Formats: sequence, C-alpha cells, structure tokens
Amino acid sequence: MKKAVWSGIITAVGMLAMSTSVYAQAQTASGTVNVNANVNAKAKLTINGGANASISFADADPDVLAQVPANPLTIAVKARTSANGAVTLTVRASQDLTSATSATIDISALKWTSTGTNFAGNGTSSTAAEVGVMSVTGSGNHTGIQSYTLDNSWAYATGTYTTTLTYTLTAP
Amino acid sequence: MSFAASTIPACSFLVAALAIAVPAEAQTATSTFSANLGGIAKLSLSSNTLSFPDADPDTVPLVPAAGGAITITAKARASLAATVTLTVLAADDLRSGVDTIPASALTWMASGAGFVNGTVSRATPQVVASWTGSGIRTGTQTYRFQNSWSYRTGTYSVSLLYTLVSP
Repeated sequence: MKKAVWSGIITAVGMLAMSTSVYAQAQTASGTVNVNANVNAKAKLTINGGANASISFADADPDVLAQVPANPLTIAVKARTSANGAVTLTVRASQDLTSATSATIDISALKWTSTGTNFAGNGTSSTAAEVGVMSVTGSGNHTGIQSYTLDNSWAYATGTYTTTLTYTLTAP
Repeated sequence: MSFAASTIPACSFLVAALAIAVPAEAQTATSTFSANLGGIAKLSLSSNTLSFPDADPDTVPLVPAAGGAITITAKARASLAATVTLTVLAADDLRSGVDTIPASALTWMASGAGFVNGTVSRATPQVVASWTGSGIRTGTQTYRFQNSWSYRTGTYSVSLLYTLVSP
C-alpha cells in the first residue's frame, strides 16, 4: 500500500514538472555586426594600357596628305568621386614641336579627333592652356580613342620634331 | 559578445529521496528521476564591427575586412532531429547618405563544420550555418567587400543581424 502511494505521488509530481517545459517553443538568440566600408576618391589613367605612350607621324607630301595621321591612342579613364563630382581629362603640350636644330612647328598644328562617350569630339593642342579631352560627372570607367593628325606644310624645315603631351585626370 | 535566448526555460529536477520505514518484511520502492531540459540557444560573435578600408578596385577587387575573420560560437539545445540554423540579414543596403551600395556587395567565406559561404541580402536571411541536434559549434566568417570604380565616395554603413534558431 505504501509503495503504491509513493509511486503515485512521484508520478504526479513528475508529470507536473514535465508540464512546465517548453519543448515546442523555438529558442532564438541574435547578434548584430555593424559594417563600415570606406570608399575614397580615386583617379586612374592609362594610355595604350600604360602610363606613357608615343605617337609618330611619318613624312608625307603636303600636296598629297595635308594632315598626317598617327597611330591612335586608347585612353582609359577610371574615376571614383561623389555623385556630383566633375571628372575631367585635359592635355597640355610642353612646348611647340621642336627639332634638334631648334626649328619649331606651332603646337596648334597638332590636332585630334576622338570617339567614346563623354570624350570631346575634337581638339587642338596648346602650350598655353589645358585642353579638355573628356569630362563626365560621377564615378565610373570610360574609354575613348584619340587620333592625332599633324598639319602638313611646305613651310616646315626638315627635321624630327618632338614635344611632350601631358594628360591630367582630375576626380574631386 | 554573447547573446542568449530571451527566455530560458527552467530546468526542473525532481529527485525523490525515499525514506521508507522498512518493517520486518521485505518491501520494494520505485524512485523516478526526471530531468526536464528545455530548448535553449546562445550566440556569440568575436566582434560586432566590420571595417573595410579604401582600396584600388583594380588591385583589390574584393576588399577583406580590416579585423579579419569573425569567430562565431553557437550553442543550442534541441531535439535529436531538430535543425539548428544560423542566418544573417542586412538591415538595409550599405548606405552613405543618399548613396547606396547593394548589400550583396558583402560576401563571406566560411570555415567550420556546418558553416557555408554566402552573400549578404537585405531581403532574405541567408544561411550562415546549420546543424542537427544539440551542441556547441564554432566557425569563422571572413567577409569581403566587392570593390568597384562605379561607387560614389563615402563611408557606407549597414547592420547585419544574426539569428540563431533552435526549434
């Protein structure tokens, strides 16, 4: 009799304890990670895939070829800036075309046409001021082809003329 | 950082110690032991900040987080066949003022049993890890930020919410 009573009490208490469990309720735990990513202004310019390139004009008969073409330049512009940031690419000649004997051809004889979105369609080289080659607002990649020509003339003294064109890409 | 379940069910232990007066004749008694173990989940992250430094998209197309990997420890008590799942959800896209970068620019590589690689989403919780049954599981997440020239300059922020569910 005592055994039966004790067993009944234990079973009842056990069932009571079981009834307080929450087996069916899903347990969750959470955590938060705060992320910061810094994106700064950058500008990158390549001409024919590198930092430097060269163009050359072959000798030609001025009557046959009034404007001597040169190998085109592939210009790649990459810029990261603000939403309203004005990205500009300009070019400026260091000097007039100058030969070893100091003969000169005015730099304005060096002209170009270009293709590519946001690239100026054409331009004339200058030593006095930066000349716009491309301009765009905001970040992105831009590629254009710039084809130079040299005005030919019977008036030029013979020689090999050189100058340096410096391109400047600005992304504020 | 530890994040425990908001409700921890009580564990009830019932021990019946029987002190039965034993008369001269032989008697037997039964003692029932009952341990009531409820479900519980606990999550800890080695860091709750991730910082990606500025980098050239050409040379670093995937920017690693400055602090390295996040170590995750998930503790769960569940039934034998229950699937314990850890997910992550972005609160928003990466945002700098009005400028945004999609949350999917954040990806991770995972290590540890049950942990999987993934891409962050702001729309759907993404599975970080899953297991079956109770246990303590540890793994790492190495986040990377997809770099691009097309981004606008700024410091972009977002919060990632981790949720460990133990059914």
